[in-house]
Amino acid sequence: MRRGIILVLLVWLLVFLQSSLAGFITVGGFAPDLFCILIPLVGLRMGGMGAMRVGFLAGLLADCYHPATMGIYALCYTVAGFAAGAVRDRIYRDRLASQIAASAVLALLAVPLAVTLRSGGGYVALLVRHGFGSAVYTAAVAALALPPLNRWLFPAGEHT
Amino acid sequence: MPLISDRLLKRQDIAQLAALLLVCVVLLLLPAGLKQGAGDGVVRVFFAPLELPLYQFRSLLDSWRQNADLRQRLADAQLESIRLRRAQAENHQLRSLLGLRGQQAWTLSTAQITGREPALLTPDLIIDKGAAAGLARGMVAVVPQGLVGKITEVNESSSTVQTVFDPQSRVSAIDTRSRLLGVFRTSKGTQCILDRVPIRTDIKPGDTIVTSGYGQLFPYGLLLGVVDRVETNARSLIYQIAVRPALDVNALDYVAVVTGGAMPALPSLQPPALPDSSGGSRRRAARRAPSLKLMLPQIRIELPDTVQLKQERPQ
Repeated sequence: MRRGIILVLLVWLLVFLQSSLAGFITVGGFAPDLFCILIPLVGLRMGGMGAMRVGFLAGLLADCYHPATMGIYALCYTVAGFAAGAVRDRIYRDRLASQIAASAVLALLAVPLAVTLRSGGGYVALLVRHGFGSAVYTAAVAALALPPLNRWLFPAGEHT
Repeated sequence: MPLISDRLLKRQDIAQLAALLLVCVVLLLLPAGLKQGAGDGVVRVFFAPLELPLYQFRSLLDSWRQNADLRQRLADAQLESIRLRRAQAENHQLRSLLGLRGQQAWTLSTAQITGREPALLTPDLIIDKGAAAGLARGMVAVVPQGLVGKITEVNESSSTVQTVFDPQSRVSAIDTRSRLLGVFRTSKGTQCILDRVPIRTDIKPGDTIVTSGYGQLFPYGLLLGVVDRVETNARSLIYQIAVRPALDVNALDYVAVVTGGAMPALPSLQPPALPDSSGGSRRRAARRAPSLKLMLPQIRIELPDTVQLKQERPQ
């Protein structure tokens, strides 16, 4: 219960950071996707159910900033949460490198997918133009953010 | 065979994924107005309180950037303004030189000042034309404001002009009003004076001093300055006359060198005729005239005038 409340607050904070501060931390036109850090972490440590809920909530709140296409971010991040939960038994989920790689892969796939669905652009072109840069940037931010998040959310290395 | 296997239906994560995707699809299909209102409401309630200070910070940051940008633009505009003013002044000087070329019967060669000899108090000017352009030692450099000096050194593509403010420079000068001759030079390196003008002669502040042409070097009529102060010394037989120079050499960018052409005729040393309305002053001037002419041996004495003046005295 406590962790659930913390996750909701964390999602709310990430939505705010992602929507308001992304302009400040853009480098070379690329911005990190903060949800792609939290969702795989939850998926790997707690399983797909929790990751899907976190992804759906994060996507739904992010959609509020783009009401015309409401539902697209929710859809993408829900699928991302499911995917993170689906691979948790196949990778070393406690390792930081695995979590960072999962964040990068999700950023590489989910962000261009969401943009494609919103704008109707070509997925491959967006993947090439934005996906790789965003994935690298997200991985770099994940490398900084995941250790404290792991310690804070899962103090004893516990798993659900 | 069932469409969806029992094993798949028993998996909760699949069921949850399907439910959430269904919700997403429903959201996508909602009317645009409803989605807009809901989205705005959520942002206003949950995120606006956090965004207000961020917005203020961002606008402060924008103002700071804008300020820096405007400062840069201001600096650029000031530089541009300086450049334009300089171009305007240069244009003005060149137009003046063109006017000078039209007014006089001289052949002029316009040259740009490329340097100044810094070692001297009143530095010589270095110009960008030399023997290749037909310049020679002793030629006169002028500008529309008056005489600049003479060429003292000529190279292939540059020359040195000794200005009239050089301590070594001496220019035969004449007062355009009273036709008194003197020598224009600098005193102590800073002040321009008209030297060798005897006391009790007709010279006063405001008189215009030009080159006389009698020195055989500078042509007649080039402006040198205006008499600023006339002082006497009890132990001296000449005036101490301070002249305010007509020319600021430091403000010049171009000069015209007289390379040939007809020189103007030498001026008469007789004072010009005074108007009838100033008969008293004319008589006073006439009374002073004989002594002036006697004290200046280089000035021709013309007897008829003297006789005429003597005849006027009894009246």
